[in-house]
Amino acid sequence: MGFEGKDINEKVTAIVKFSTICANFHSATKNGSSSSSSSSSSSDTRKGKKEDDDSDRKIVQNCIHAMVHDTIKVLSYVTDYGQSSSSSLSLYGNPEVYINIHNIIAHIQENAIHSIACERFSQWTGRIVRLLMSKV
Amino acid sequence: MIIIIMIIIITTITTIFTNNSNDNKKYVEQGKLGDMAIIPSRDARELIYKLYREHWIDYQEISKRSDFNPASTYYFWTLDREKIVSNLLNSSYKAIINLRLRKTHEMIVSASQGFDVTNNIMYNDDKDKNETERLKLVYARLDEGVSILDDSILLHELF
Repeated sequence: MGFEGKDINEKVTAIVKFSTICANFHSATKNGSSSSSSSSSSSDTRKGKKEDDDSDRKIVQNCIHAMVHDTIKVLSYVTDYGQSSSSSLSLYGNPEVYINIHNIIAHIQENAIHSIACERFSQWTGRIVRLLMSKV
Repeated sequence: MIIIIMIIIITTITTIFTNNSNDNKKYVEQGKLGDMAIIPSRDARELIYKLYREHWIDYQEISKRSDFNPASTYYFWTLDREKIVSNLLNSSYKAIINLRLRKTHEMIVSASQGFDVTNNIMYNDDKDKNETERLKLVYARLDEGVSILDDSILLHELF
């Protein structure tokens, strides 16, 4: 097994199953659009539900893929073949998605310091601080 | 020949300082920093020294000559994140103390004038009512300030 993405800090990483994310996403979006027509037949309903699930799965996959390859490295996930690849998440069934909380907090901290520098000195000073921070 | 040797020495030193990871610090040459930030070198120098005066950044100087003439000296700047976070935390704690002292002062002053915001009291007239509302607003703002600073401290203390 290998990790898709980098900088996994095992001490501060939350793990979520991909199916759980999909289910939560589906329930969240379903609540928003629950006022659909109720007069359709059961087969149509099942077919429509499957299409909805596939569509949700694709949306979640794309979102996760974008976040994994983002510079902040918010998410990572496990691959079956022990090598990092840029393949789609769907190839790996129901992988575990790692939420790199350390990276998220570090990014927020960096932004906070940059913002403080901008407020206290000037926008250009903030830029210098950010450059130096990225170099450290 | 001497010029070539000097160039080699300077290039080596620049490489060492740019890639030095022994003390987890990386240094950036002053001119390069201005170029990277797309700021005119004169403005960049002023901003950098302003940051240095406020203890945000630190530098290492390397001179080509023994008299450390600024014209023949290279300045390599670095930023110590832990130091900045420590300074910010100190400032935040100071600000919280100041806010709490201010609130205590406001309470003492209002109590000396006969206003008690914490208890429900009957207002004698509109003036009393307005003053009490104003005090409530002041207390709410001071408490909000403490809350915001508390969030900031939590963020910087986390990791």
